[in-house]
Amino acid sequence: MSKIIEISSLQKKYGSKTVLDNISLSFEKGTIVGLLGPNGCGKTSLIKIIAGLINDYRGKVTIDGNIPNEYTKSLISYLPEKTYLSENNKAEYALDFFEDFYADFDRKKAEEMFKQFKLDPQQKIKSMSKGMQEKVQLILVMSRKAKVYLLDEPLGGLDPASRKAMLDIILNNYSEDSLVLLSTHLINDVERIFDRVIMIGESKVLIDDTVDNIRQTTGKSVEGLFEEVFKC
Amino acid sequence: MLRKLLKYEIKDTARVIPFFYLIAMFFAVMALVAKQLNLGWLTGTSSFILILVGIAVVIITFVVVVMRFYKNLYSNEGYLMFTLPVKPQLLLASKTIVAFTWIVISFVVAIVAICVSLYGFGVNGTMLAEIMSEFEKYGLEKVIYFLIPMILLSILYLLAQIFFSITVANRPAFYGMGAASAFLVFLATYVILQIVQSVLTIFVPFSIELNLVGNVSASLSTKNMLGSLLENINGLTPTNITIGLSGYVFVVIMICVLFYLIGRMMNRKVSLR
Repeated sequence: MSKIIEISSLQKKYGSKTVLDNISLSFEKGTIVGLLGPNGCGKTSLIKIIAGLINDYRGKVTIDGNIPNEYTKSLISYLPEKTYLSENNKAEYALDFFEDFYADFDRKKAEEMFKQFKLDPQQKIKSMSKGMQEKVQLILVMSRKAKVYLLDEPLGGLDPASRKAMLDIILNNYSEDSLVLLSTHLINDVERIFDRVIMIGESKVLIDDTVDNIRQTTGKSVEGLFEEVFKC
Repeated sequence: MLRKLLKYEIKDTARVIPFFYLIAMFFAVMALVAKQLNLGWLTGTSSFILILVGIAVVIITFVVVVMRFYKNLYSNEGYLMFTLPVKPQLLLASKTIVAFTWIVISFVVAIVAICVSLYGFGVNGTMLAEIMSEFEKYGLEKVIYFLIPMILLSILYLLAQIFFSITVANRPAFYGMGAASAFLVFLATYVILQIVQSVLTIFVPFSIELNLVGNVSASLSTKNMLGSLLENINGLTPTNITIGLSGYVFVVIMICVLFYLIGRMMNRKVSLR
């Protein structure tokens, strides 16, 4: 399988604190990769670097052969852990916005998902619950035919029923030749969808293996291994 | 892409600013109608409120465009804006064009509001014509042609300084200082630039000289402004005025430099929290 993202000797510091230290990774198309680790381990920083939101790092990061720029941004569909939609606007405004700026945005698909999840495009973002806002964002992100989906904590703060719905959105809209890189704390809920997991801790990659290998070699689930690696 | 960015920029800012134009229009109509009906107290009150609204329109426009710049680029909305497939410089261009346009419109609204207020207070066309004829007597009526570009340049200069301060304050080095960082950076930038501009205006021997004897004439000169200032300070009656031009050249250069630096920081140095 061809590599869509290549990272070599990546280092990111915040002041004197190193959050990513000499990290080298590559990601292939057609896989769902779980990015796991405790709070503050650098998962979000890594995702932001790939998304082109952090530029002051050392090392090399390429997406489809290009360093993060406006071209790579057109390939990446990014869901941050925060609500990035303007609260004063209706959800329909976000649909118009995505349609205008992303050539790969499938509006029809997004509108169908809105209906499926009983979301009203005429409702203002600020009058939606956190769960509804996250669903709207995920629908927008997954309605793109992107080469890379970067999903940063898409399940955070959701009830179990909503988590399942969110996972369904991801699984049903994930295209075979795309890469999905998903960071989460809620491993148990998503472990079944991962092809590969990367565990980051103490600024380094501690585990980088396929889920099948982890189960075979350790006899543990991903969550079990996570608990062992990050035991307090 | 710039066209699309401009479209959304206008859409989002047009929700607030024109509302204040409507308020100004309401009081202007009220003042004019009251004047026609000879309702003295209503004319006075509405004219007074109209002046306040005129001033408020400009201040509110500045606040709206500055808040929009911060909120749309450096709060959570920045996660969407900075991941759009556009060069960050285009984001800056769209915000600057729309902000500048709104501020210019607001200035025009404020000037019209103040003119209507003055009319309400009894300042009529004859008085204005007298003031203009005084200007014309000295050949200064053309000053307005210099005044308008200078005001437009000042608006752009102020916007550049504000946007620069907000962008610098959102670099990781300033995270610890919180919301005050943008204000402090602006204060420092403003004071430093004002000092440099004043020094250049006064001491660099590149100026425009206005001859006040007879019909006013203007010519470029290699004198500096210091002599003219000292004459004024010593209470002498000057026969000509020297206006240093280097400060204005500095302003034009600094507008370009500040926007270049903002674009560069947006491209390479900004790190969203």
